Amino acid sequence: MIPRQADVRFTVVVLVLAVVALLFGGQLIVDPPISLSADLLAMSPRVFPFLILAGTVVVASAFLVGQARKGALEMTRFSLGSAPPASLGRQVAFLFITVVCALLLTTLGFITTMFLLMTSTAVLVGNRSPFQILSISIFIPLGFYIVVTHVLRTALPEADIIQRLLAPVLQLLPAF
Amino acid sequence: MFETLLVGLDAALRIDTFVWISGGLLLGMLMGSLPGFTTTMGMSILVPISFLVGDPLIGIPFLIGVYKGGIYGGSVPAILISMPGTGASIATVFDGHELTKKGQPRKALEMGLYASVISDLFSDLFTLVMIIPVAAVVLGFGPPEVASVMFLSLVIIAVTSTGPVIKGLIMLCLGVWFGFIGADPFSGTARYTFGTNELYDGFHMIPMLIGLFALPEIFAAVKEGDRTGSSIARFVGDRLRLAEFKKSLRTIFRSTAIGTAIGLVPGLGQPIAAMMGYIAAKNASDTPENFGKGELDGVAGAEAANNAVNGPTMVPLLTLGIPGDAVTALLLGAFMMQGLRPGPTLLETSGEIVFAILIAMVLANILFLMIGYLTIPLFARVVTVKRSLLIPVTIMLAFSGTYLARSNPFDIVTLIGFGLVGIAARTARFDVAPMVMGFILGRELEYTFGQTLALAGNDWVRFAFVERIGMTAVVVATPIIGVLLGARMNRFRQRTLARDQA
Repeated sequence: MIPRQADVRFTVVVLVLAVVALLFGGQLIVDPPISLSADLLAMSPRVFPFLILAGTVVVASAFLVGQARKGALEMTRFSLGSAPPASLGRQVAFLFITVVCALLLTTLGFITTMFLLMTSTAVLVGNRSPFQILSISIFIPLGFYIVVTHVLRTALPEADIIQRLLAPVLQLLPAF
Repeated sequence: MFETLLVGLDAALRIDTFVWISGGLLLGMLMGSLPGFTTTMGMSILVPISFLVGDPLIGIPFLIGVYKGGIYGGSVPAILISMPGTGASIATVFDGHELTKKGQPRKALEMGLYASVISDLFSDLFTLVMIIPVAAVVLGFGPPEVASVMFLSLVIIAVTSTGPVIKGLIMLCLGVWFGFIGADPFSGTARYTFGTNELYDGFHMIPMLIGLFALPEIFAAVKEGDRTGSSIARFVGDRLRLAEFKKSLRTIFRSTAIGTAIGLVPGLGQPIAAMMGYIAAKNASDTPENFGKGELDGVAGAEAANNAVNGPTMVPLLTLGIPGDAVTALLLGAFMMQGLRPGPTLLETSGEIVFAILIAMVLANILFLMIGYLTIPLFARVVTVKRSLLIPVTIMLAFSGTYLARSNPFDIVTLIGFGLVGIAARTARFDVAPMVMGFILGRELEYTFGQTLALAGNDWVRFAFVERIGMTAVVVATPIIGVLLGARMNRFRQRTLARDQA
């Protein structure tokens, strides 16, 4: 049985997290190497998290009780909202691609990862012009990479093969 | 202090500062003009870029330029296609778009620009004048006073957030809890790190902000698909006449006062200022029946009020380290990346830089006027740019900005993680601004609260009611202010909703 409203689902997740953190706070917070007694007058690392987590439980419970009174907690079959299937597919694909690109950034390098990310995002947003998609996905990351690494002299992750390909171009640029 | 001000003036008068401010204004107007692109999202992806330039007198004014330009830029799609570019421009739609329907978009855009520049200029001057006495008062604050003001600010931010107060409180608690992840400020022991080194320093603010503000916008764009601006977006009609402008001057100054006062209170922000400025203009008008039918005073009232907020939000930010809204939270991140820590001692330690930034802010208004006037026709065309061309560039900037902040691959994971939280919150109609404030201020609150406990020792009663009566007064007043403000905000929201439905 799953609550229908997105805000109720979100609050339930927050409430569960807060309860888990309260119950297992002992394991999740490391004790100080010396005990903080009243003489030391330093606050224990557990005090503030406990207060905030307890506050979270109270506020989240109050919200859920309020929703229950309004009848919004009626259990209905699981629904993914009003998004039509096509947009849902696009959203899931976008999340998947974003996570994959985040994990591959240091391996594939900036230009290749951004090419993949920008191409797929452009297609998902609805661009159907190969010329536009390829132009922005190739030249903008390339230009940005050159500005950051050559002008601002800041490192971006890059694969060896791309760096070797870019080396002749970068040598032609004036030094900044 | 006056000498520091003069040093600041000298430091501000640099050609490169003004070149970067101009760039920031242009970028801000561009982002504000694009329907679906918010100033917050634009700022979040540009904060790391401002850090890369290396000099706070370039990086911070650049972001302030983006901020100012973005708030004005939001009025362009509001006037032309009835689609506010930012939340601050919602009130501009009422009369701005009616003027477009009457074939007078040029008049509306010019009135919006002049009202924005005048209000921005006066509110910036007010900020410059106010910051010295406020800083002098704040300098006498100890940890108990700072903790109590932070507590008050957090409550105000939660109750004035978008949507029900209880949702704001949930997000606030969540943000404070995220802030606990990492080393404890007193003992340095790990909290909620699950034994990982990456989490020991806590989450970095920049990837968190980009994740919370930029990724949900991109996600929404993916959901909605490509959207091309309306073809009716054209810069046509008569110019604004001097007599029409003079007639609206009283409204502009009234809204400037409203926006300036609202800017000083953390959490309220531009959308509320714009709505209040608009309502005040209507109430004071001899012809209130013309409002909503293309009244220039309506545009002037809303635009002057929303831009007047920009400057005063810097007062709590710079003197107490309390950001008033999401955009000033980003500015706080930018200050910290530049090695400047906003708070009671900032004016003492880096006064000349602070004054230079504030003076640059004042002078930026001249550039704002010139650039705005020359580029209105251009930004009127920008409204029609396809979103599918801009979203890929935005996601590239989000990724690269996150990485460039610290060159730490873990920040990309943070970006995605907070992006997912932001998407979930947006879907559930929870405002992420209180969460950001909780994250930023929660840790500071814990630290100052701990210091307060240490200062109080065992004689709490004497400490609270004799030594630190100011702290106690603020703490006692906080729930009362919270309840009163919450009730007022609810009434304001209901009135706005009723107006929207009408």
